[in-house]
Amino acid sequence: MRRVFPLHNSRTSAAVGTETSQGAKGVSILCIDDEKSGVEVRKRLLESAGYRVTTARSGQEGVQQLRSEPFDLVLLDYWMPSFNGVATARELRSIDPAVPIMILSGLSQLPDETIGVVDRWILKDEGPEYLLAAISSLLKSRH
Amino acid sequence: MSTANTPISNSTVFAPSSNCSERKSHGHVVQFYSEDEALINGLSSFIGTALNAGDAAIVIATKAHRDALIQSLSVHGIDQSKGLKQGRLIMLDAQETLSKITDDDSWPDAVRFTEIVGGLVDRARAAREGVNSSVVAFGEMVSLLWAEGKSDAAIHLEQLWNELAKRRSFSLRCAYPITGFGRGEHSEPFLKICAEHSNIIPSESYTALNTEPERLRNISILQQKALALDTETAERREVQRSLQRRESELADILENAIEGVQQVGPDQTVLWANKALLSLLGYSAHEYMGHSLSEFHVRQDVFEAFWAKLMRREDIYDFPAELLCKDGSIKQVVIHSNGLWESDRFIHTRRFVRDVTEHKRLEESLLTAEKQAAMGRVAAIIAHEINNPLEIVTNVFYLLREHPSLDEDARELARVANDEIARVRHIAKQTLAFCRDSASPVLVSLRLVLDAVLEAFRHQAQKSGIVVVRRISTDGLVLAFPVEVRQILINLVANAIQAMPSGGTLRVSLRQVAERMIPGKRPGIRATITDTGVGIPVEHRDKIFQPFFSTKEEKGTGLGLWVSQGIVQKFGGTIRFRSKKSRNGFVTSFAVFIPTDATSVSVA
Repeated sequence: MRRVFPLHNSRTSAAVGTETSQGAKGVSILCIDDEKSGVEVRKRLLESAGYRVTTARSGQEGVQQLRSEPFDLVLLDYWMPSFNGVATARELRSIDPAVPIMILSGLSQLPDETIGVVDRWILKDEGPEYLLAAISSLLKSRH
Repeated sequence: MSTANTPISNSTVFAPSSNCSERKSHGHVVQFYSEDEALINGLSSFIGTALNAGDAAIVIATKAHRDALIQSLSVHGIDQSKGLKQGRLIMLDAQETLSKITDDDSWPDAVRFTEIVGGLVDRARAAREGVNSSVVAFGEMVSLLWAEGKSDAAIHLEQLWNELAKRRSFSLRCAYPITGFGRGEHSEPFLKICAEHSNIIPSESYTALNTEPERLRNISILQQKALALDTETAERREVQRSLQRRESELADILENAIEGVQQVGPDQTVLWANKALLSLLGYSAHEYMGHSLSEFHVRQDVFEAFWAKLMRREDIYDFPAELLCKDGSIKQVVIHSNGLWESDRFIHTRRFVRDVTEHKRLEESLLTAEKQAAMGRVAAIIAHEINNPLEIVTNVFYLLREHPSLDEDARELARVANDEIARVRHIAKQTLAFCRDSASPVLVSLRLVLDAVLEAFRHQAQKSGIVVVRRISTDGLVLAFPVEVRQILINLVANAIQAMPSGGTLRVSLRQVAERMIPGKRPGIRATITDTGVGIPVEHRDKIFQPFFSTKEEKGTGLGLWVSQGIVQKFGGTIRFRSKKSRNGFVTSFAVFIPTDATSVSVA
């Protein structure tokens, strides 16, 4: 079904805008992106919403982080050199099959391989409100 | 022909000479002749002998033959005027007499014949010199009927003569020019005519021969000729049949060929065209043949170039042209052609016309597809390169808006920057999504997309006091690029919501329809988004699909409808709108039609 209607990705329900953009205190997010300023600013954004954020600058580093401690959610960039978002997500899944994984992309559409590996994907051009609402929505659906 | 006058005994086993007399035998003799001279010689002997013997004679002949007979008789010292005076010689015009004995259909009437011709015989009989004298008669009315092609009437008249001879005693002679029997189909009536006679005098080429060896030789020669002729005729018939068969086979091949074939005369008139060509262009034979070829060429300069090549005796291969169809459409074709020349005279051209319209269309769409794929790849890279820094800047200003270390003035500036960055983000999204990076279209449910879009705008709609009414009767499966479908619906729903800042009703419907406006009534899905908002002013209606046209001032990019229309047209669909005044303001409706037949999607 997802392959046939890739648009009907569960991410769309996060776009409601009615979800609170305030994260629960102590909810931990692992944020993986190879771009230094991008990941730093995103960390600040998530922290402003009350999340506890750990950053990793590559897929391999993110995998190491998840091995050493559990996270409530992983937010990772799709386009990373050598070990891209999907490959990273697969590896993360093998460590913690239950962890919600959200992929973030600068591309207007993600390849089919992404679907089924991650829980949600959102585009970087959707804006910070959208990102926070989507995280909140995904966390809620898991509790 | 002095030899023709040499008498030959009737008892001879050979044919009689042309001047043999049957006056004593009361027979019915027919003479075939090649030259009038032979006829007159024989006739003069037949009539002259009778008159000399005191017999009576009846001559029913053409004027020319009567005159020639009179002259011949006088050469032989026979005074015909005496016979005429005594009533022993009766001379009548054949044509005149024939008209008296035939009905309106030129058919010899038995009663009239008996009355007139029987009366003549009786008159002649009364005028003969003695009781032992006889009556002889010569008639060529039958020959006149035969010459007119009335063979049945001629045979019937022969039979009437025979009937008369049974009741009255006279000797009869008829004559036919042998040249009247020169065709194969004459064989049967010729035999019938011969059957009506007791004696036959062949034409002079035979009767002129006087000795037995000569005649035997001649018979052998004639037999050989007849045999050779029969064989040759049979062979010719077979060749002719085979040629006709071959001709009809070739005509059939040309007529039913898949490729269009035509012949064009030296005055550029279409002489002939086969079924394939007529069906390609949609004309009937009557509408196409007989017309000037140039009428069917879209470009006259191309046609003239084609004709000029032909007139230079060039063989033309793969000549590209556009032909005009009856329904106004244009077919792309390639033409093979060459001229048929007889010395310096152009007889006609043969044109073989191949339809390459579909081929060209595929070629073009492949080219477009390649371009689009390349554009898609470029767009993906640009999107990535722009969106990364844009996300960072967006996030920075988002944080600065409420940052505690800034004073209110600085925070306000950050808010302005945040809004402007949002605008840049929106423009990038609209333009780059137009060039998607997906390789091929997939089945997309418009219902699911529409539901997701409505869900995305639910909060905004609620905030503006908009009631959403859904009328969805289909899953609306179309072969498309998901991101594009979503783009269209987001644009239309967002426009509708923005048109109702003080509330209203947003109606969305999804229906399976046959699009009447598209030739062939292609089936498809129609999504209609209707609002009760501010309406579209008349002066804006022809501009709303233009790029960068916006009525939303700083909020709009002016790209939404332009992009949407581009996408819909690429699907082979349509996007239409109408805006009319109602009791409570305006009702504005946008209808998007996307065909569901797979071929309509331009695959990229």
